[in-house]
Amino acid sequence: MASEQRKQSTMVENKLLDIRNLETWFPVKRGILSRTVGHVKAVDGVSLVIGKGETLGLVGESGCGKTTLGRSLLGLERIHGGEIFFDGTNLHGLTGNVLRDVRRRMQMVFQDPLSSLNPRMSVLDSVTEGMKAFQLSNARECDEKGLSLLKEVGLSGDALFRYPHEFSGGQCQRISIARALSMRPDFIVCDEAVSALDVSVQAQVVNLLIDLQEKYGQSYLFISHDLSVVSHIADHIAVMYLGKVVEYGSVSAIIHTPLHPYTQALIDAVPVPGKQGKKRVIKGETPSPMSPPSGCPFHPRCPEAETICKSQVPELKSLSGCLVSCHLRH
Amino acid sequence: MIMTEKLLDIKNLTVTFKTDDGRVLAVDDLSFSVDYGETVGLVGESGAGKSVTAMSIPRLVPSPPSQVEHGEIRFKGRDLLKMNIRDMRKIRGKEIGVIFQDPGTALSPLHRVGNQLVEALRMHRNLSFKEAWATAESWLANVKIPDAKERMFVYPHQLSGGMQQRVMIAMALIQEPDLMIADEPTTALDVTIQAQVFNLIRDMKKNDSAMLLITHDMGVVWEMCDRVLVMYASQLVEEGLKDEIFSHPAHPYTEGLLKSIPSLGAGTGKRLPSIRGQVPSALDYPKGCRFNDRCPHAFDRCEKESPESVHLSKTHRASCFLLVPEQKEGTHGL
Repeated sequence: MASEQRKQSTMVENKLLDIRNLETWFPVKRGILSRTVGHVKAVDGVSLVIGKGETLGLVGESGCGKTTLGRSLLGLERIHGGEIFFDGTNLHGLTGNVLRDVRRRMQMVFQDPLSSLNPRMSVLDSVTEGMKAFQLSNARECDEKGLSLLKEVGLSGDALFRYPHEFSGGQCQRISIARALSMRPDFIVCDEAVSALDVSVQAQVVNLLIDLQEKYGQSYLFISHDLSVVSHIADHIAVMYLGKVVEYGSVSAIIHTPLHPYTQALIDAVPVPGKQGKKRVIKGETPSPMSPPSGCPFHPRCPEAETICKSQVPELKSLSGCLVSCHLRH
Repeated sequence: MIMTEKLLDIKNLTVTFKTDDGRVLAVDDLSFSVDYGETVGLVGESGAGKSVTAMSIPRLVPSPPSQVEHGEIRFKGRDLLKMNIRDMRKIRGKEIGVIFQDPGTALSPLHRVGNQLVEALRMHRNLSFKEAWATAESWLANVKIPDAKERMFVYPHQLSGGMQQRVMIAMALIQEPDLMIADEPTTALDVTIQAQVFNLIRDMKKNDSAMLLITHDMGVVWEMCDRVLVMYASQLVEEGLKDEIFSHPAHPYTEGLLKSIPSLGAGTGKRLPSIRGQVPSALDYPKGCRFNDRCPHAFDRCEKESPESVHLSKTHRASCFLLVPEQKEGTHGL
């Protein structure tokens, strides 16, 4: 692969979101005085950039901190350190109307389609609630807009006054997408948005997300454990392991020429029809984030680990157009 | 030609559920067989009836509300449905082992892992507690649980999902069953752990024992199975050898299912081919072929009649009118 092409592909122009050294820690409390005895570093020094109209895929195994990262960006988790710049504004310490406007511009689609919709609100109420709360237009226009949005995500008009339990998972996810879109956001976090759906329906929802992005130009942070889905929708992929980004690059670079041993193992482990040959299966399991290993967090499972990996934490460095944190890649 | 008896032979199995909204057809006139040494994949989307089919074999579907309307399940020549409960219990666990989907709920939270394994062992074999404990410990080591000796004393919640699934596998295999039923054994696990578990299942499986693997993941089928059964809306729509299904899918549903799998690195922003519409509700299946409202090739006859299964080769059959020779012109798009 031409390295120039790769170099170009990791450059992000028109930054929408600039995450610098983000840390989200959860305190671990013990004893009757609930003293803080330590921290779970769910997100530990992550720096990422998401461009306008771009989709960043965030992959990793359960417990690696990908959901916490997504929630931290929207201010749903209190961050411990680092900075988040959204369209040039530092999100830290925002108050009042500025914060309110930023809130509108960042939306989320959750994993479980049924539990993320209020069971006691009709579909129309769910979809228009945000618009009405933010007084984006008057009530009648909101309802009209809600209807047209629902049509856009592929639901018929008779869905309006029905309740979430009357819909299948795929339809509920479409409603959630319509609800997120109603705020005219610039950025949507899709947290495992298609993981709960059957393959045939999953494909429909992925296509819908791609279509809507082409039309409205919003950016996505697409969080998923499923590399193959991510490789379809994303422009760039960031691979997380134990709270840290271990590799970042364009989709084709990550999928075809992964550099980090963890990314390689992750791609190898995906069962794909037609794939031949023996897999490299990594041993062991993700260590507990309560007591992460010294040095490179991946070293206990890494097939290539050397002495340096046990003592020194690798820095994220630029290598043939990708960012990778591994001592053994030069 | 001498007809040898298959290990498992299911004929015209129909299972219904009584619900408040009426009778639900969960498995509709299903016939298939599993031979010694085979790994057979049973695929389909949620609600297709895969789990009910599989759990009907060891008769683990509670009745009521379920009821086997008709059909027979022949296991080593004996019809399990006609067997009394005492004989059935001798087969369950001993000759048919089950690996459940969610190890967290399938294992007892109140008993130590060791005791649960010992119970499974002593159920069918005349062993002293001490002997059984030693055997159980060696099985934990077999399924590659580190520190097996100490892990015998832990409770399931102290183990990770991957480790719990290993305990489940050990429990299912400890009696060395002839048929193993694995119901989505890795759905709850991460891909790297899934790969480990599959390697383990492959290594542990005896050569002449068979496995029925239920999954919704075509990638898993490709890696693990010799033969594939595809279910849609309670019916078996296609059956064939792995290569036949993957290279020449005959039913439009199988074709759509294979196409809609996102492939690694196919390219960014490419729309995935999808099957329009959604899986019909079991309370209200469409008339005729149950796939007709989602099928890109549907024509008049599909809405009126149910297709019979058509044999394409000795091992490959599918239920679709497109495969009936006189229907081929004009409408054939495969």
